[in-house]
Amino acid sequence: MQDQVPRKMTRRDLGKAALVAASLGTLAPTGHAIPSPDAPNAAAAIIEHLLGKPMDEELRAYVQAALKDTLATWNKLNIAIPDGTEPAFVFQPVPARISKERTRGR
Amino acid sequence: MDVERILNLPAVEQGRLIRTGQVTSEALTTAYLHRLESVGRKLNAVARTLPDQALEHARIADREIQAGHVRSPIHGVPYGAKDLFAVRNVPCQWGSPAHADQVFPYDAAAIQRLRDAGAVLLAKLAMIELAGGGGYEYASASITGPCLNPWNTERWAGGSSSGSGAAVAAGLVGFALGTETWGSITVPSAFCGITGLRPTYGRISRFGAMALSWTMDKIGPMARTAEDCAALLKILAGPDARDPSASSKRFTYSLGKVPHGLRLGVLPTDFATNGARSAERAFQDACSVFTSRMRAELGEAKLPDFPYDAAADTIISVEGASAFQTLIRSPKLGLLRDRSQQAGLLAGLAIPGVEYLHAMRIRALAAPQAVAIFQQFDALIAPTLLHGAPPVSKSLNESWAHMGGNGGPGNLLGWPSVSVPMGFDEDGLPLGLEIIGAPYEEATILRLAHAFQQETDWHKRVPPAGRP
Repeated sequence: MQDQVPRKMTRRDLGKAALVAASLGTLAPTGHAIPSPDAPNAAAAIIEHLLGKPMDEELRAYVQAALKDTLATWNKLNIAIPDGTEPAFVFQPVPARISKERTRGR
Repeated sequence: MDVERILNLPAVEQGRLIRTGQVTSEALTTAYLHRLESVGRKLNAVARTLPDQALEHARIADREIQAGHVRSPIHGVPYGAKDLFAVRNVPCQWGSPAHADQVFPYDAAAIQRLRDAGAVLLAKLAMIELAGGGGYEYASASITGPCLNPWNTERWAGGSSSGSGAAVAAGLVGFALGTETWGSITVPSAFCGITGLRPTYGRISRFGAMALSWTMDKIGPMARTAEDCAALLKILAGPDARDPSASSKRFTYSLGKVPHGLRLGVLPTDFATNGARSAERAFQDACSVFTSRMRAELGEAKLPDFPYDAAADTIISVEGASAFQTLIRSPKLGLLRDRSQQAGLLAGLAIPGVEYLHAMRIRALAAPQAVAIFQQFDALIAPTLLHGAPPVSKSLNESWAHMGGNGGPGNLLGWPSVSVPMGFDEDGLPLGLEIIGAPYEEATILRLAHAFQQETDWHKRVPPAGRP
């Protein structure tokens, strides 16, 4: 079976998704959403938007339950960290491989 | 020598018997293949046996050893690998009905290293679908069905390296390869009564192993003794240009006597609230072994206060949602056996990038502060889990409510850990002791685990399903 990937999102799609995201709640000073009772429902709507199709009722209920857990996790993560704390990964640029022929040509 | 008598011996002992001509790799391979097909299938521990390839490699090993070319202490020893390691041109299903036809044209780095060491790959072993990346509610979340515990087939073998745990315990392989993102080696090791090593993040190349979480996945040996785990880590560890996280730090070990006065930090464990009397008694006995036989000093260990579990959960959810993005956005997602797994993967799509980065920044902040605990202690100890294996059909949401465990900090921070058997619960199911070390200090925890196993015989017990 061929995998069906939903169409690419446009800027307008992203704008719509941001509006839905805003319905999750107001932003706290640390940048964390304060969840409203409707938050799992709104987040499920974002997922459906990303999928490009609605979920069936049963799956939607499971997803909403999972999202409730996710929101609870966010609350636990909501600790202040010093500005400038870098995340635990480092990007390393890949050095260019310049061929000898090209160098000689200059 | 009667082959049946050595099926439950440690891998390095099997290697010695092969080298000294007391048994052939071919005879051992034949016996294990028979047990995998009979006992292994009944336990749902097997994804696929590889009889032709295994017998060919066993005969080559026998010829090489006879000619005096010994590759390693485990030359000729048969083993199994969790079905998320690529083996060239062999189906690799990741435990998932959505990946039933998947085949890779190359070998995973760990498979290649074991082949170079002369080990004989017998089988791909069962696992929870996608290593449980989305979170799963039932043990049946696998294309092979629920993996049954060799100690009691009405109980679960643990996950996600389910088949690896069950196969080692039941005497179906000499040792096994597993992986852990959060608990997937230590949990089945504890439930099945075997010795499992979760190495430091980056110790073993992840090339060719299914990615669930690029920054948290670890590969490790699951075996019958700490000595086996040390010998296997020596073979498996090392740099690999194909995995940027693979460390070039050398792993050396000595399993000699543990020096007196070693300082062990006991992680806080709430036995009473969780109704874990058996685990409490077994853990106290284990502590006595360390204090009275090894003259170790025990102290209370408290990690600095960080939301370790929440950060680990967020990182796995986001990296998992990205790793399996193609599946998540396809109708094949519906083929996964567990609805919670499907839902968890979908929910990962809704976690904002800033939340993931917040977790990664907490991780960076916690790492240097938490590792300072190893200035106070040489290693940390705790029960791996507070209870034996749960009933196979019970919701894991229920059975995990009082299970305890210390997987969050160690996995988030990439610390090594070994789980060794330390006794049994009131239902006769194995209980595990976890010894956690500082990054790259596997030698310390394996030495402690080995010393513990010199003083106890829990690791020598064989379950009903393991008796020939």
